[in-house]
Amino acid sequence: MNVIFNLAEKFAKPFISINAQKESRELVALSVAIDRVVNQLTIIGYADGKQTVIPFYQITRFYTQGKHVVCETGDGAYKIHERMYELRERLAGTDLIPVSNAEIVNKTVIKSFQLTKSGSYQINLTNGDTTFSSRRFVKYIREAFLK
Amino acid sequence: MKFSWRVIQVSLIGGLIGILIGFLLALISSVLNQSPVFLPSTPTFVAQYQNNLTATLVSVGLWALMGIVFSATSSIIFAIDRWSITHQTVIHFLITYVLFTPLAVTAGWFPVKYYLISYSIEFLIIYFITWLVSMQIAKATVRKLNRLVSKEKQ
Repeated sequence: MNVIFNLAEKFAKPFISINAQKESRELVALSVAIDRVVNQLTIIGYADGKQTVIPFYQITRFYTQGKHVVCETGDGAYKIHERMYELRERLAGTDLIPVSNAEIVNKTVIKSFQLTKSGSYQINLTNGDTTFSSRRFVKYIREAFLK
Repeated sequence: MKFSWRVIQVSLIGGLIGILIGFLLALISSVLNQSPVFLPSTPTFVAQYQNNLTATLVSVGLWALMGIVFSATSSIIFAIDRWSITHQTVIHFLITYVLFTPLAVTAGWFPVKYYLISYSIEFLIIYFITWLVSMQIAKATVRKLNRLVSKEKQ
């Protein structure tokens, strides 16, 4: 099945539509699967005293900041209650890959890797940010890209 | 807890490897010097003790400690992988140099007076080579990762 983008100014809030001659069982199953990805694979973020439901696909990365775990999206950063090890278990097999003990990055925002002069694995992200990976996690990154 | 158990396990194995290497070096040295008996180190070292057996026992202890120094520091330092390769190598070098040198001198491996400088230079060269190889491996890893990233983006 082709997946195409239908881009226009009027679609201020993105939505997904399934185009077909008639509804079938397979298409209903597909819509349920898409709904799961978009609306159910989510996490609750806290910022400015407000709770926000964040779908996984919007997440750029998770990182630890002091004692908290922070979830970063294109719109901002949110504190979350989950621990890093819980996230690693929950996100196994998704695009969100652990790059060190303290960070999980969405592989779609990884622009390139670079070895610093002192020998650290630097990750350059598409939004211009940089972060670091640890050697032990390189194999997980490689596996995620080989999938 | 898990971390310290791992260090203890690695240290035990390191101690045994230290004894094995020390013994083999002493055996080869005894053969090459055509000594009628096994000497754990130089005759001057052995003469410090009551008999050859005591000298061998002390040597075994020193060889084990040498093995422990390298294995324990490696398992601790190289596990801290938020440190860069240079950071890890420099810290490992400093710790092993400070701990291993007195053991090697006590074991009679070289007289401090004549060989300390050349020993130190050799030590430095070995670490420099280790650093260089680690950096090359890391560079190759980064190249591979970048190839995977660009493949993904196509």
